[in-house]
Amino acid sequence: MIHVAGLAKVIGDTRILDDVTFTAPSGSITGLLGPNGAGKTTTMRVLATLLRPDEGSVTIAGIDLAVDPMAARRVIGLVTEEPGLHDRLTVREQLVFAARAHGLDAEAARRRLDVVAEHLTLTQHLDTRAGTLSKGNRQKVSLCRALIHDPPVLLLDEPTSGLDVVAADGLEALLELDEVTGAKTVLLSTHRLDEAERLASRVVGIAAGRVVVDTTPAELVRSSGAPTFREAFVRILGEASLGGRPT
Amino acid sequence: MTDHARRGVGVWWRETRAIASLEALDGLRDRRQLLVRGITPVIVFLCVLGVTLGLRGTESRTHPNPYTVAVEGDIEGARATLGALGDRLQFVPVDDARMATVDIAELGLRIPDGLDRTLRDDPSAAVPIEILQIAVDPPSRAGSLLLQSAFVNLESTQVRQQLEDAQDRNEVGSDSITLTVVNVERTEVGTRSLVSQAVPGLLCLQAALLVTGTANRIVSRRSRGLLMAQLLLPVSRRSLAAAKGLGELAVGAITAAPVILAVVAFGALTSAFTGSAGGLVGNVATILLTMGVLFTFTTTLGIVIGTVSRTHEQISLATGAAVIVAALIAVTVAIGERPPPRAVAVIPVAGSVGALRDVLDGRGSLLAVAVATATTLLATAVLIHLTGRTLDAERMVMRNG
Repeated sequence: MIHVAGLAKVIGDTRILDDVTFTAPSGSITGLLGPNGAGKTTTMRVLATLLRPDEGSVTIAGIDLAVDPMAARRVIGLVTEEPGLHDRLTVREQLVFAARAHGLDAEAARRRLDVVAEHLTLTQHLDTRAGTLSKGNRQKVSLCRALIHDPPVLLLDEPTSGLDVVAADGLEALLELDEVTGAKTVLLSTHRLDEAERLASRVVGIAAGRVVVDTTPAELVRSSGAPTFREAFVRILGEASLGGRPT
Repeated sequence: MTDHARRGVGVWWRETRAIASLEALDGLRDRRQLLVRGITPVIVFLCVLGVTLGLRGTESRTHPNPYTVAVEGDIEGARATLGALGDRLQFVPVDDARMATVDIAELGLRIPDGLDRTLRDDPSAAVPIEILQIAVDPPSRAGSLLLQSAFVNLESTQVRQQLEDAQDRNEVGSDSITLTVVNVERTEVGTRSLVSQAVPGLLCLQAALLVTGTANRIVSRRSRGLLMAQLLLPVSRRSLAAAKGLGELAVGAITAAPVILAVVAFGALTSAFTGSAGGLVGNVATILLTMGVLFTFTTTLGIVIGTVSRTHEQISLATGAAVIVAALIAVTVAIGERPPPRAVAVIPVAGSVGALRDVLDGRGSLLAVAVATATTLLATAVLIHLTGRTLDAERMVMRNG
């Protein structure tokens, strides 16, 4: 489970996040939605221990990030828009390295790699250099790397951004698999509403650094009176954005 | 050491080795980069070798052309008497010998007009002659000495002639003194030799190239998100910094292998022909030690530059500055005309280069090598500490926007 309470982050003179509070439960995908510049990526970076919060607290799988960020990194898998792969190394080399870096021994790393690569249909690419893979497959490798140590928490920061429709659909299908995300706490940051509606059982909307909605997709549609999830969300975000970002 | 500390070191080394291996493997598979980083030092090596060969040693060095002497006064007399003693002095007539010495000649000479006639008429006459030299200019000083010795030769010839005349008149015995003066020129003192200049100079330049290669690789990885992915690993920043350093050092050492082998072999061969077996071992050991110390320092510097800089322009500026500093050290300390003062040993990098030159010259001391190694390693430790700080995730994220 991810629990964020009163999170604030100031960069320069701008308050990027202001009193962000939400909970992402275990065994489900929570969508973190918002327009460009809303603060989604900053939130994900704080959760991934890449940025320190200025105010508030974040607990991931029972670990307080402020107390033990190193322990938090062991229970997190992160997929970002940019896969961050070594182009000249094979997929297997990079994934084995990631597994070993997370403390798995050689045999455990090999077994885990076989399982995850099978689930993500990457087996035939394991001995291919990452630089020769398509963007969709590179993102699959990034997902594979995030899952290699079987973390209880998966952070997905716009994983389908930049992918074509087919590749994005393929990745979304993988995220729906129980073997991939089943028992994990998954936080999916995206600005693609159709993706969130398809995958997320709960959505947290952010606008101008503040949480403006935290509910289920069905409840959002019902309470807004809009005919579709997209229209309901756009309406709420539009109203919230008029308030502007605090400084 | 406690169990906890032992386990800590073990884990630290395992993490560091794993990341370093990955970094090195990635670097070694980049054929284009390997080619550039491998060929550049060879070109630099050949250029430096050519320049150094052109310098030649002190022992064989003389002023390439005759010294130009600006003569104010009896130019014909100077040519007839002094010029006849050798072909190393060339006399040119001027109105003002002082100004001509500064502007057009290497030294000057003031001789009263009609010198020969004066001496012929009155052999005991006192003839005031002035030699004008530029004290800070080695060729001027050397030319001046040559001129003075020409006068000495002239005087000794006259004395000898007087002795012979006296013998002819039976005024002295037949066993007269035979005096021969041999002029040996030396334009400057020093201990310049091929091996003592080329080896430290090349190592210095090779080390400078590591700064550029390392910084560029770091920033390239940063822009592709690789550094961010590594910052997410549950490893300490110290491990990450050390691993990057070791990985880059391995790539740098492999790309520099041709030059390293050439330098070591060159130093060893020269030492073998000119010194003892002990000297050979000492020289090779000092070359390897200096190489290791310099490469470690510059690799770490490259990592700091690569992580601290925000843009490619900043990288270019910083690495360019590092290369210029290294070139200055190579030119002044390694290839400079005079050996560096011993006090240079306390300056990181320059001290190591200077100490190596002294050792290869046969004038080195273990203390100087130890002090130079210690100061350079101390500077490296400061850089490693700085690297650990610059690898702070938040700073990296901010730098990448």
